[in-house]
Amino acid sequence: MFGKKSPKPTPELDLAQVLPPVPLKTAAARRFMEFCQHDFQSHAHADGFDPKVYADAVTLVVDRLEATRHME
Amino acid sequence: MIITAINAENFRKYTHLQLENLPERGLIALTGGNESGKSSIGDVIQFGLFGRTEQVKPEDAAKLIHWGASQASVALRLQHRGHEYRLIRSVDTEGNVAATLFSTEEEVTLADTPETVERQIKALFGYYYGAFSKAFYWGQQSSNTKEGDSDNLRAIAGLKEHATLSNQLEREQAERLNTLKEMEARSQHTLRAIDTLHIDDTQLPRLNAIVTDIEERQQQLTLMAQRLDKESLTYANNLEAFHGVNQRSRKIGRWTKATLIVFLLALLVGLFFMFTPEWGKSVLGNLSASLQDTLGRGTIRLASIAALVGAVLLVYGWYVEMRRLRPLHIQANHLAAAMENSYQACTQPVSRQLNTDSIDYLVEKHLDMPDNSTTHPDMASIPEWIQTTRLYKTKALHIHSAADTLNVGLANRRAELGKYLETAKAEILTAEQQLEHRAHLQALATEQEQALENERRQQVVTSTAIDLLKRDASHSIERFNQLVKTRCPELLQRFTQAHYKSLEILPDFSLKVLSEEKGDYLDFNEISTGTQRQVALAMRIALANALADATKTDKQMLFLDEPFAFFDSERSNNTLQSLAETSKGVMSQIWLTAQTKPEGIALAHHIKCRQGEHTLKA
Repeated sequence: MFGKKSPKPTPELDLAQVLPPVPLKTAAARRFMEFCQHDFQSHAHADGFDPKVYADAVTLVVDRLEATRHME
Repeated sequence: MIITAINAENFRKYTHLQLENLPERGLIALTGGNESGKSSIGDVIQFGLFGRTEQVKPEDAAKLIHWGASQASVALRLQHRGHEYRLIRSVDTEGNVAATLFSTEEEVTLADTPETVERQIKALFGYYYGAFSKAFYWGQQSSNTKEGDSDNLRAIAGLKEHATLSNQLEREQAERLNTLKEMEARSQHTLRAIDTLHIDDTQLPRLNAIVTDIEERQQQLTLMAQRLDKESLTYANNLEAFHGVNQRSRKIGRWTKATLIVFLLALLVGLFFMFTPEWGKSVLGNLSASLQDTLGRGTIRLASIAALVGAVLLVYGWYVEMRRLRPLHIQANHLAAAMENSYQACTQPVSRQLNTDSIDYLVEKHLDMPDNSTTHPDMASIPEWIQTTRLYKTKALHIHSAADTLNVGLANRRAELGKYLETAKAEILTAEQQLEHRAHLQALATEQEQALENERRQQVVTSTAIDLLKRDASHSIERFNQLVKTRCPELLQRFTQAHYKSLEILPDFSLKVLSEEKGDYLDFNEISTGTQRQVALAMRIALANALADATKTDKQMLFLDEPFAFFDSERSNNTLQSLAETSKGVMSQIWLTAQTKPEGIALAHHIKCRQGEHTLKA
C-alpha cells in the first residue's frame, strides 16, 4: 500500500495485432504461420525489431505459399 | 486426409468396386488369398489420388484398365480438415487421363486437369505422390527397399516449398540489388542535375523588386505627364485672369492709399481746429468761433468717412488678394512644380531616379542610361520659364511649347524604362523556367528517393522472409527428427521384440539403430534383412506421423500392404496392437492387407476379397 509501485509489465506483442488472422488454405502456409506466431513473441522485445517488417515478411511468404493453390 | 468412399470401374481385376461408409478411425482390414485383389484396392487409391501406382508409372496408366475394357475410372470421396472433396480420375486405352477435383461443400470444381489436380492436392493436403508413397503407403516393393533416403525425408518433412520459395526470394533479392543500384544511380544523376543548375534563390525576388521599381517610376512619369497637361491647359486662362485681378488689386491699393491720406489730413485738420482755436484764428483770420468749430467737426466727420471707406477698400483688397489672386498663384506654382519635376525627369539620368538595387542591375546589364531624354532646343529655356511662370510672366505660348517638349521627354523616358523592363522581365521568365525545371527535378528526386526507400524496405522485408523460411525449415527439421525419434523407439521395440530400442537420425538424414545386444548404434545395412523390414515399418509409421504433423492434418489414412509378411505371430500381434493404438491419433484410418483376418484385435471394418470375383461391394 505504501511501498513503491511495481513497474508495469511490458504488454505482450502478438502477431495477430499486426497481422489479422485469415483462414489459410495450404498446409505449408498454415505450418509457416504457426512457426511465426511462436517466433514473433520470442523476437518482439529484441533491439531493432520492427513488427511491421516482420508482418510484411510473413505476408510475403504466406501469399506465395497460398498462391501455389491457384497456380495454373 | 481420409477416404470415406471408393468407386471404381474396370480397374485391374475389378469390373466394379464399391466401398461405402468407410470408417474415419480404426483398422480397415482387406483379407484374401493371392490374386484376390487386396493390393488392387491400394492401387485404386494411388491411381485415384495421383494417377499412378507403386509399379505403374503415369505414362503406363493404361495398363491398369481391366482386360477387354476401353476405360478405367476411379472416384474417391475424401475428407480433410472437416471439408469434403470428390476426386474422379479415368484413363483410356490410349493412355489419355482425365481428372477432376470437386469441393462437395462449395459445389465448385477446384481443378479439372491431371496437372491442376496434382497441384491442388499438394496445396490442400500438403504432399505429392513422392511424399505420400514414402509416408502413407507401404507396398510390397517398399518393404523390400531400405528407408532413409535423405531427399525423400526432406520432402516428407515438408521443406520442399521452403527451399523453392527461399531460392525464389534469394533470386529476387539478387535482382533487387541490381535494381537498387540502378535506382541509386538515377537518383544521384537527378541530384547532380539539380546541383548543376546553380540557381540563386535571391535572384527572382530581386528581379521582381527591380521590375516593381521601374514600373512605379513609369507610373510616376505617366502621372507627371498627365499633371503637366492638366496644369498647362489652364495656364492661358489663368494668365488672363491674373492680369485682370492684378490690375484691380493695384487699383484698390491706390484708392486705399488715397483714402488713407484723406483720412490723415482730415483728422489732423479737425484736431487742429478743435484743440488749437487760437492757432486757427491766426491762420483763418476772422472766422467766428462757431464756424471754426463747425469746420473742425466737419473735417473730423470727413476723416471718419475716409476711414470707413479705407476700411472697406482694405477688406475688398484683402478679398481680392485671398480669393482671386492666391488661387491663381497656387495654380501657377503647381504648374511650375509640374514643369520642374518633368524637367528633372527629362534631364536627370535614370540612375538618379531608381533604387540602388535597380541601378546596380542596369549597370550589370550594361544598359545605356542617357542623361537627357530629349534634345529639343526649348529645353534650354524651360528653367527660366519655370521661374517666370510662378509670377505669370511666361507667355502662354511658351508654356504650351514647354509642356509639349516635356511630354516628349517624359514619353522617351518611359520608353527607356520600358526597355529596361523588357530585359528584367525576360530574365524573370528565364529564372522562373529554371526554378520550374528545378522544382520538376526535385519532385522527381523525391519520387525516386521514395521508390528507393520502398525498394530498400522491400529488401529488408524479403531478407526477413528468407531468414524466417530458413529458421522455420531448421525448426521443422528439428521437430521432424524429434517426432520420428520419439515415435520410433516405441514402435521399434514392439516390432523387433525389444531387440532394437532406439533410432538415430543424423543431420544428413542417414539412419543408425541401437542394438540392445551389442549396446551400440549400427548402420542400417549392418542389420538383417528381416529386421530391416521391421525397422522400416516402424520408421514408416513414424514418418507418416511426422508428415501428418508437418501438413497440419487432423486425420490421415495409412495403407499397409502385407505389413506382416516376414513377421512371426508374436511380432504381428504386437504390431497390430501398436497400429490400433496409433489409429487413435492423427493416423486415424489404417488400411492393412493380410492373407487371413487378424485375430485378437478389434477391426473397424473388414473387407473380404475373393479370388475369381470381379465385383466387390462393401
